Amino acid sequence: MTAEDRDREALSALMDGETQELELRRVLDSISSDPSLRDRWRRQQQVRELLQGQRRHLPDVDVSTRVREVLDAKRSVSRNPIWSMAVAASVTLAVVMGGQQLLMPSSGVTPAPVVSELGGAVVPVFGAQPVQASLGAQSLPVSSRQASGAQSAGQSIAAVYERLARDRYHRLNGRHAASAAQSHPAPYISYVRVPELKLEAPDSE
Amino acid sequence: MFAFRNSSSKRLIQSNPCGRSLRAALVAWVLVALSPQVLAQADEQCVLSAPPEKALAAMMQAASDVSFEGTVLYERAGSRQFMTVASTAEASRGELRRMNAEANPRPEFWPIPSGSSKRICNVVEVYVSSLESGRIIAGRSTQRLTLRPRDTLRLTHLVDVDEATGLPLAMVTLDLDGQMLERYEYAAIEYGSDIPDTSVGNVVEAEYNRGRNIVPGYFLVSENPDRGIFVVSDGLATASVFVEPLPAGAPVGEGAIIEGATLTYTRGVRSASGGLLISVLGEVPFVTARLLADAVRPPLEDS
Repeated sequence: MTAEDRDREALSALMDGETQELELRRVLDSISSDPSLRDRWRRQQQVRELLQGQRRHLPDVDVSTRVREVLDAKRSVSRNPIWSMAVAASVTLAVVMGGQQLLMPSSGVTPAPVVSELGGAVVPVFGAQPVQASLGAQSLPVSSRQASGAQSAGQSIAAVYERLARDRYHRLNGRHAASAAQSHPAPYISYVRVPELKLEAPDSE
Repeated sequence: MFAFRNSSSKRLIQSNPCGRSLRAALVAWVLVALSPQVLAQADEQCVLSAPPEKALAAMMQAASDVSFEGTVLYERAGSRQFMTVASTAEASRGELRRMNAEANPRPEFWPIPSGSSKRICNVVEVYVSSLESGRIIAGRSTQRLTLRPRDTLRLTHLVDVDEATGLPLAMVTLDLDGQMLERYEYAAIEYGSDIPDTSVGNVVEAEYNRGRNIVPGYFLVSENPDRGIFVVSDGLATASVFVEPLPAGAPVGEGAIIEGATLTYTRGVRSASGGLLISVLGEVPFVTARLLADAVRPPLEDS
C-alpha cells in the first residue's frame, strides 16, 4: 500500500467518523501539503452532503483548516484542567442544543410547557437528547435563536405577571392586612406592612 | 362555603351571550376543598398541656387581654419603620402611629382580635412549637417560642414573648430556606395596671368560623362570593384569594413578587366562560399560593 493509498483510506475513515485523533492529525498534514488530496476531501464532502440531502447551496469551504484550528485549540486548553471542564461543558451544550435544533418544530411555534400550562413557568427543553456532535456544524446559532425565542417569550409573560402582581399587591394589601390582623399575634404588624394607609374592614360572609 | 354564588350565573350568561361580564366571569368558578374527613379531624378540640403550647396560647390571647403602650421597630428588605402602638383591653381597637412617615403622624387604628381555642388548636396542628429562655427585650424578660411548620406550606416564626404577659415583644419570620423575611422588636413598652395572669392559660372563647380545609392546614375563614374574595388561615398565617376578570390583552401565565413576608402571586387562566386573574396575597410560601390558585376551578369539577 502506497502512502497515497493510506491517505485515501484514512480520508474515507475520517469521513465515516472512524479516525483516531493522531491519525486525523496525520491526514490533515497530508491534506495541507497535497492539493489533490485536498480536492478529494472537498469532493467527498460535497457528495456526502448531497446524498444526505443536507446541501442547499455549494459554498466551497475547506473545513479541514477549521478542524485543525479546533484541534489545536483543544490541545492548548486541555493542559489546564479547569479549561478542560469548560470545553467539556461547551461540547455538552453543543450536543444538547444540536438535539434541540434537530427536533424542534420548524414552524417556530413555542413548545407547550410540560410542567405547567402557564406561560412564565418553566419551559422544558424540547427534544433535548444526545446527538453526535459535529465539528464545524452551524446548527448551534440557529437553535440558540429558537431557544432564546422561547425563553424571551416566557420572560415576557413573567414580566407581565410580575407587573400584575406588583399592581395587585398595592391595590389589595390593605384588604389583606385587615384579614391577616385577625390571626397575627401582633395585629398592628399586618397594617405596618401596608405602605400607605389603606385600612379596610375584612370581608365577611 | 368557599365558592362563588352561582345561582344567577345561568341567567347572566344567557342574557349576555358573550359571557364576558365581570359577574358572569366570576360566578363560573369555585374554590374546592379537601376531603370532609380532614375537616372533621381538624374540628376536634386539642389539649394544650406542654409548656410551649401554653406559651403559644398565652401569646395568642395577649393581644386582646393586655393593655400596653410601646415603641416598635419593624424591618424588612428595603423598609425600616419606627412606630408607637397602644392598646387597652377594654377597647375594640388599638392605635398605631408611624414615626418615620410624617411629622406629628396621625393615628391609625387596628382591630383587636378575639382569642379562640380553636384557632390555637389550628396552629398546634400545623406547627411544632418549642420554648427556651430568651433575651431581655425593652427591659423585659422573654422566652423564645419557636414555631416551625410541620410541612412546607408555611413559614417559620421565632417569637420572643414577654415572660409575664405573653405579649410577643419580638418576632422574626423566616422562609423555607431559613432566610429572614421580616422582623419587629419593641424598643420600649409599658403595661397597664391590669396585667393578666398568663399562667392560668384560660382562653376567652370568641367566634372563630372555620370553613372548609382548602389546602392542608388552611381553612376558609371568610368569603365574599359576589366579589370573588376568599380568606384562608392556618390560625397564624393568612392568605387572601381574589378572583377577577383577566385584564384585556394579558396572556395566560403566572408571576409573583414578595415584600417582606407577604407574597403576591398572580395567575391568569382561560376557560369557556372567559379569562380570570387569580391573585393570592399572604404570608405564605410560593407553593401554598400556587395550591390556593389551583383550588379555583369550574363548579362542575367540584366533586
